[in-house]
Amino acid sequence: MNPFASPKGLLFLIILLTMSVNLLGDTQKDSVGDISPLRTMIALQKSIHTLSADFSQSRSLKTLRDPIISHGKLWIQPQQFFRWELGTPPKTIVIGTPTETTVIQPFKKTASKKIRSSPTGGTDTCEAFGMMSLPGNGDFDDFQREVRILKTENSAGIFHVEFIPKNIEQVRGLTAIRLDFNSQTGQWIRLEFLTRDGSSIRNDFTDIKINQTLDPHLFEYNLTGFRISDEKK
Amino acid sequence: MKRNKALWILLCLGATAYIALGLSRISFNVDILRLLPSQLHQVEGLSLFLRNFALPNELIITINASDAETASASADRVSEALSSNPSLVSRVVDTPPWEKNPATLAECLSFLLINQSSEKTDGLVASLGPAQAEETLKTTLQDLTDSISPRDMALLSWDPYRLSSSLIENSALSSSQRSAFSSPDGRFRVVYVESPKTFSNYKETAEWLKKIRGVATAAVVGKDVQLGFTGEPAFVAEISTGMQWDMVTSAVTTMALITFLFWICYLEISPLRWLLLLLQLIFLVSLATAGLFLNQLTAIGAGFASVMIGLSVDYGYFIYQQSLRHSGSVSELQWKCLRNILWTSSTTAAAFFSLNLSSLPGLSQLGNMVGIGVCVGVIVMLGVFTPLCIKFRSSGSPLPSSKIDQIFSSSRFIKFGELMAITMVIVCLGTLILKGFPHADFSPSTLRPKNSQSHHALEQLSHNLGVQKSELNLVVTGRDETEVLIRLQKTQKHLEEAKRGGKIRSFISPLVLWPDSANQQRNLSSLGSLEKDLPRLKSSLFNAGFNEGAFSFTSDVLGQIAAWQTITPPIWPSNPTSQWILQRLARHTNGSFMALGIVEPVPGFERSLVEEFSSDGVYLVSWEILSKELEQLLPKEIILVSLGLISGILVILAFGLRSIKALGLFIATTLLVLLCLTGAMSLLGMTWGLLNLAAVLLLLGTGTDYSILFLLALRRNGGDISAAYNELGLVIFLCCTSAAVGFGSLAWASNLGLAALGKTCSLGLLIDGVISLFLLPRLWRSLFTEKKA
Repeated sequence: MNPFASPKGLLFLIILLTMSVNLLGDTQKDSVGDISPLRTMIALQKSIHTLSADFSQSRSLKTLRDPIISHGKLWIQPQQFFRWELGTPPKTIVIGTPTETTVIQPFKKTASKKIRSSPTGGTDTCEAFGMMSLPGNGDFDDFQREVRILKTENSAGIFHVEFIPKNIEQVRGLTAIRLDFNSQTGQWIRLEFLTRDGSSIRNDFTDIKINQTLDPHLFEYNLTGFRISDEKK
Repeated sequence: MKRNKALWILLCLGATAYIALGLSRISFNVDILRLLPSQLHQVEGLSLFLRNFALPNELIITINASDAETASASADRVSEALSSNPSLVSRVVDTPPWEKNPATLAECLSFLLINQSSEKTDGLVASLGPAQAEETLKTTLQDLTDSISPRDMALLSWDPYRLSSSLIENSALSSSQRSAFSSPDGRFRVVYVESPKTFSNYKETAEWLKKIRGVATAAVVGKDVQLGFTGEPAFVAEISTGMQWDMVTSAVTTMALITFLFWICYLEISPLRWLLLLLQLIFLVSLATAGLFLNQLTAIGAGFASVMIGLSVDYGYFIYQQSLRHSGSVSELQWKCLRNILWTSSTTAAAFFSLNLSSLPGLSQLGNMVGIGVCVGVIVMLGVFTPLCIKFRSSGSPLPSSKIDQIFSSSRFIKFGELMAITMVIVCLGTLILKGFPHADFSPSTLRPKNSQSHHALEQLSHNLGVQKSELNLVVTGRDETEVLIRLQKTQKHLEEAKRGGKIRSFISPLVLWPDSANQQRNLSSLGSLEKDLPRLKSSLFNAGFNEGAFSFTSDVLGQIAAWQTITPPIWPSNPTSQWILQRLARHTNGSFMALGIVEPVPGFERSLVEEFSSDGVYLVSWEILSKELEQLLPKEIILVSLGLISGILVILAFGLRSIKALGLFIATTLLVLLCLTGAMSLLGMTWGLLNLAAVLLLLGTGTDYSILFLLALRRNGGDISAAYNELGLVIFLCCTSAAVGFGSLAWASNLGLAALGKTCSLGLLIDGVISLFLLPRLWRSLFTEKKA
């Protein structure tokens, strides 16, 4: 029961983690079992230059009887650009560049821009590239510093890891993040966020394509006629 | 004989009772604003801000760790450890109170709803009516599906009827996203601790802080965790205990050096023993008098007390030196000494008491404190020490032969002294010409303790929680809620205009949190009637796909509003969560009505904004602006007071010296002393500050004694310089060194202002002593020899 617990950052985090191919980590080998697939998967991230995928998002909110299900697509160029579309046709589009993040609602003809304070992101995980630049550059030690592993399980070729960022201020309201990936290929299958009020937001990934050329226009959007609000970071 | 003894015993008992009573009434005020002119709008505003929003019983513990997890765990442990000590703390808060119990926030949100404009309320009532309620829920569901806003996601799922939407639109609420509990990276955490009782004095505060520190330190794990303690109790404890230490060490150092100087000059134990005893008596009686008759003493003001020892001992030296050559009765010696001391003590006391003319309460305190000390010193030394000196003589002890006394009679020494004095003057004046006047720094930080842990913790707190140094505090006061509201409404318009005009980057106005009786009256009526519609609203919610949990917020808010219908506005929310939020933004108790906002100015517009906004009951204040105002005011103030002081001294001396030339000589040496002091300060890289500018006044009051004494001695001895040296050379040397030591002992004071004052005065007195002893006679000679020729 935590309806007003510092909502700031929560959904950004959800979205951005959805797009992140990097966010994993481990600190407690003894209590979480064999984490070698996790190490391997994190190391693999270095070789990812582009990524696109379809996803199905299920928002199981504590106050709703049934989950809300939407479909979407995402494109990522790690450390550089991303585009995330929710709904078919997309009702919400988020485009990230090294300098700003733009949230667009095409049907409402509105957009809001969040200017990033530094090109490298910094530590504020409310920023798109802040999350993308979290210890996820293939460095397992960095992950260990930022993320606490709660649980791991390896069954039927799927590695399941449950973790929480150590800085609870950045993820206030979250109790855990669950990630399922193929223990052989390191390919993501499912990412789920569990909140303190008992809600969860789950993303199931399909049609994942790695290192394919992305159209640079993906990360642009013509906002002519849109009401734009600027939010300086 | 028996009668005399009884009288002495009675006198001692009376003095003890007086001292005990006076000292028990001393309380230190650590607020440095009490030293500054209260008529300044900045001082007035900042005082209001500190008095009302710096919570006297709230200690702030800062936790700094190398990683977020350790910081968080440490904050939890500290909170847990302190919470388990109910006798020590009444409340420990390490996360927003509503996070642990969100339902408690409903009262504050209900208050905000009834406080908003009736147009907004009408819109809300319509959206909950039978015709629109389902549409409202549909919109909410759509937003929950599409939104990527964390705020919408969290709020709308628990507030499907969007009661809080109109509030979120308010910039004051939506822009206030700065956490009061953690830095963005989570490595810095803050825990707020409240004392269960109000502290009656600084010792209680210090004791409480010590216990809290012990519990908190024991609770944290890991060597890399650093704890800081700040907030009002930490400042009170640190400054007051620091001042107590300063006073004790300064007094002890001064006493020790006086003992040393007296011993090497006279090699006598009995008079020295009595002199030290009487100095302590003067110190205590003066402090007790200040406790009894002065308003609350600031901690810095009390620090001036040690100066008294250095001044009072002058009279003791003079009396003892005169007694060595005296062959008459006690009363004759008293009269002889009084004729000399009268001029020096009256100029000193007049100088110090005239500091009351200043608009600076800090200077007034200095003046009163030392003025009292001078008067008590004269009475005690003439009344008690003079008979004792005669007693030492009549006890048959031979005249002590002081080698130092002989040195002062030697022409070689005088020539050497003259050479040194001329060199010193050349160096000082040369530096002044080459380097110019010392720089000025009037920022209030110069009055803070050096190496202040609580200030360091506060700076870390501001830095880590993103408080901008350029921010201005908006303080709005009034006699009642209505007056504050009217002022807030005007200020809000003004703020919006300034923002549109590019003078303000952003602002947080407390208007939305200040009760508006008219709005409350209307909104209570319209929103209160919705309570009867709760069953319908609940049913619609279920039909839309929500469950029972989604209705709790709506039900709580509308229930709270219905409960307030029986209360006459203005209504203030009162549960602990609401109070925690409001105590940082509003005051409405004990006849004090005050609201606090924050304005972030565009650089360069600070001063113009302060001038634009300053009006009755409205203050836009910051420490930076205050220091700029002081920079303009203080030099003028000191010059004016100095001129008044010099005029007073000259009038007194005109009677004492009865010679225009001698008076001219006095003015010339005084000016030379001040110029040399300025040059020496430039040479040593010292700066003019709030308190050491007052050193000029102190020098005029005390340092001039040396030239006055010497001029009087020259007049008495018919212009015979050697005779004057014989009579007073040693005394002036002793007076100068002991006063310089008295002030110099403050150089190590924990308070930066007091330390600067001590250094400046000590330097000035030494310069004064050298000029009075070695240059003044030379000038006298040239002036009066010419006359004879």
